[in-house]
Amino acid sequence: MPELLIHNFLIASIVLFLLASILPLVQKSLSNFLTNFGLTFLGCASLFIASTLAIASNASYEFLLPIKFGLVTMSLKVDPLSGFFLLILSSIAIGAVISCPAYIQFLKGSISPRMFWVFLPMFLLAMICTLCASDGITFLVFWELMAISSFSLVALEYKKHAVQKSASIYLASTRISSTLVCLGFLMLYAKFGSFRFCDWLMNLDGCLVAAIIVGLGFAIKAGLWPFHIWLPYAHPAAPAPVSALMSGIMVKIPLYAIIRLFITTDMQLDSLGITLIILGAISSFWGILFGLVQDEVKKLLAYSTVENIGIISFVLGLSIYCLHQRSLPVAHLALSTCLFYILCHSLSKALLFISAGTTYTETHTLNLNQLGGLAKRLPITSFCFLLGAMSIASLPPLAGFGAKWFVYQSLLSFFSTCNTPLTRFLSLTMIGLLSLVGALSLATIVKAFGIGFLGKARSPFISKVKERSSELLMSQIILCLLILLLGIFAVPVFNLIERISAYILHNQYLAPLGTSFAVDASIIHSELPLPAIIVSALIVIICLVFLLKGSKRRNYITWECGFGSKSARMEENASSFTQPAAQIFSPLFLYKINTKISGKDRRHFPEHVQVDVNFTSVLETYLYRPFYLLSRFANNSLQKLQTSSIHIHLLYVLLTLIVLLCLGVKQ
Amino acid sequence: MTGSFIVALLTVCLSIAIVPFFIVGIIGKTKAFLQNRKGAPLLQPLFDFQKLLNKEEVISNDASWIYLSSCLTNLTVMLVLAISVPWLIPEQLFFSCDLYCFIYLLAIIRLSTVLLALDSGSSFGGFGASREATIGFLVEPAIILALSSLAANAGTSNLFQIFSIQNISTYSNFSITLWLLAGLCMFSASLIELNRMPIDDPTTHLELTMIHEAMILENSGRNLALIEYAHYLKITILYGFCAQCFIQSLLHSNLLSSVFGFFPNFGQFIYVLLSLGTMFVLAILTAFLETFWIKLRWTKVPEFIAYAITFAILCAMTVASANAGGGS
Repeated sequence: MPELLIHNFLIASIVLFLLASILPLVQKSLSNFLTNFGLTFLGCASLFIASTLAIASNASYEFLLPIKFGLVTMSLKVDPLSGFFLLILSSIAIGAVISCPAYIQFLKGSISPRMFWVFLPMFLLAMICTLCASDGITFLVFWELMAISSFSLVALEYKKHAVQKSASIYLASTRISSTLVCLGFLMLYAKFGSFRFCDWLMNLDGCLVAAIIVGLGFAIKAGLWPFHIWLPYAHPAAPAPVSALMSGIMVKIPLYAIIRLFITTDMQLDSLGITLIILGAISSFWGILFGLVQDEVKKLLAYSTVENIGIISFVLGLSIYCLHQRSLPVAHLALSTCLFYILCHSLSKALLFISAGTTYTETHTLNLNQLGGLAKRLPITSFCFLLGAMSIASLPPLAGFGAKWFVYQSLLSFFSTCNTPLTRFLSLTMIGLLSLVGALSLATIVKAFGIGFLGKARSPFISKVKERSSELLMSQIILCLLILLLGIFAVPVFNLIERISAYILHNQYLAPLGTSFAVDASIIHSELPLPAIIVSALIVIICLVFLLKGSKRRNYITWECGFGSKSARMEENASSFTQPAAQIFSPLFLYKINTKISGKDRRHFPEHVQVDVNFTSVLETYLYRPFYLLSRFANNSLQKLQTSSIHIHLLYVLLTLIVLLCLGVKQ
Repeated sequence: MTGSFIVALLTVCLSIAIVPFFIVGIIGKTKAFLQNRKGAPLLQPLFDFQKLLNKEEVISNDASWIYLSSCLTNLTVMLVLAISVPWLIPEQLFFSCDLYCFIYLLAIIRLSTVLLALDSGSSFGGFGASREATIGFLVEPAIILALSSLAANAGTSNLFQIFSIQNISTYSNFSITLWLLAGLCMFSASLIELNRMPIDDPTTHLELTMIHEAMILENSGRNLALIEYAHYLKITILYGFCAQCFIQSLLHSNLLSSVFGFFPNFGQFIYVLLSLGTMFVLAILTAFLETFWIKLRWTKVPEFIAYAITFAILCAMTVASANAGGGS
């Protein structure tokens, strides 16, 4: 019975998305896309039900699609793991899709709403099918569809120069990633003679090369260091709901694929675990460091995604390493933490992108140095942004805190299983590193919120904005409530997720040992007293509010040493706020401050003062730029070969013939 | 509810109400003494608090809901921490705060204070906020690493279990070293976290160089009273933590067992006195440091923070080098 229900709801959502993406192409009237919105929303709702059922049923079901690709019949498989990711997808999609009509109305001048409504459902459809794919071919087909549709969504504002650049960088990275994944899958097919994931038992030695290639492809798509370059380009270029979906779920799909391929198939590779741990640690630190110095909100959020993907891969790597070491309780805890972290980060980041998008629809810019004073003018948006930001910086009582807490607990229990002083020290160092990353992310969100939303408005236009669209507010409030609930009920939700990860580990690891589904509760040596803290905090707040009632108040200008009203230019801005921090890490940024002071007596009465800060990424400058220049050079040189007269082409034919003849003679 | 619980509850509540002002008073009095002045009375901070409560509040025109909410947030978080972490007595009252809860609740205070500073758009507040955010991300890892080492050694991240005095019976060099290092790390980290002397001079006349005072420059009246009380409470609790570390170290060296043995029925009472005494000693030490040290240049501040980080790393190394289960 659950099989039938899951099947029906899943197929219903796929069909709805398919309809929604075809409809705008045949629809004549452009007046509004309400039908489309309705279809997409229904699809999300249906997906939500299907995924909840799939998680609840705790078993896997396979359906064949009535499509053949080559010799392989495409098939979908739903089990609690893919159900879990589908659940995240559907909850973010519900939030994001609600905000779409208002957001697209705002962007109407610069993008074609028709194209948006073609590609958005297609993107959702591709993600669902990638998550449910049970064989390599299905996976690759929808992986490609996902890449292409998301590229189209990024490139919607194709007339802007910045968007062209971003879209082409994103396209290049998806091409490289897909090529690698394709290559790896073909090698695995050659090895096992089947495209089905369940036939790929990767505990053989010959799989190492294929595993590395596939892993590399996934790392590029996930945006792990040093392949994270595309994220800060693609996210700011895409419309906010699309960024929410891309950052919320799309970059986690490669991690899902890693779990699917390398954990459920008993991959005996500790090197994969160690690689993920190292790359994850580096990308979390690197990502947040660059997030800290960004002046554009969406870029800052994109770098924060790099950070969080780093932490997720770190925990995933820890889990794989522990599986290899056969310390199953720790592996189980780490895997559950990884899934829980994915859930929390997806919701918080989606909320932040939608809040940023809402701000953008009013202010028409997201450059922190041009915003300011929005907390009074956009109260609900700014409150939602603050909650999302607090969750990203893992502050209690929001979702992010629970996730971070379990990461620390995983590391502590990993410590207790370590035997040598070196590994024990390393696990403690990792706690230190994660806390540094956490503290940096606090500084980052303080900057985003404090500079962008507080203080004086930095332009007359900003000082007149107000909240107008209720859809945008509604989608934020839904996500806000979700992260608040997830934060307060972190432990019960985590217990549910532990069942999912037990399901993942069960067949391969737990069953042979005779260990049951039940989770070893003693592994976490503490409990999270969040409900107690919240209750006591509420009591104290009520007492204090009661105490504070009726205090005498007067409004006056901000104190400025008695020089008269100060201008917004005297405020701290985004670059100056992070200057002390950037100075500390200046070798990594190539950070420079240029000051120009001119005038007759320039020390006391300067006529013109100009300060600008510039920084560049070491990676982009020293690693990617040479490759880019090389490929451009190669491109230009090859172009000369191609665009010449017919005589030269005849010469090529002749030369080719001679070479072929020579080769033939040799044999 | 047993009698001992009520006594413990009363002790904690009374301490929360009085000790924060007293500690700040002691610092001021000692500094005055060292400068050959008579100084204000010991409870002057309390009198100031009362005075501020009755004063009119001036709110900046640019301030938003952050301004009103942040003093509430700070005080609420500090009060919740004060009843749920082991800074004074080793038994838990209602519930025990987890180690990471403790750190991230402190982070909420940093967030709300920094936002408060940026809220009114004052340039002084902006400077303070920027510096606070920077030293925040440098010092937080040190505290987490030191406390996590203790947690890893105790096999739990429950603060009351980490600071438990139940299982201390044997003399062990390892434990003395570990707790001493943790105490030193916590003390240097507290100086930084609380914006005390080598980082920030709380008594300077120039707002431009200050951190904490610059951030709360726009507050007045009740709002300022609450913010300052929350800050005093933070000083008390962090010093309480340092005191617990040093007391643990002393307990492990068996120096105190005779004291507890002499008054078998007043163990808890003696412990509270011991905690308070150590906290006052730390306050006097702070006053000495503030008299004999100078405020560091901003660019030199990370070098001082490096001491705290070094202590934390030494802590981690000590724990890592120990055999599973302790021993020297």
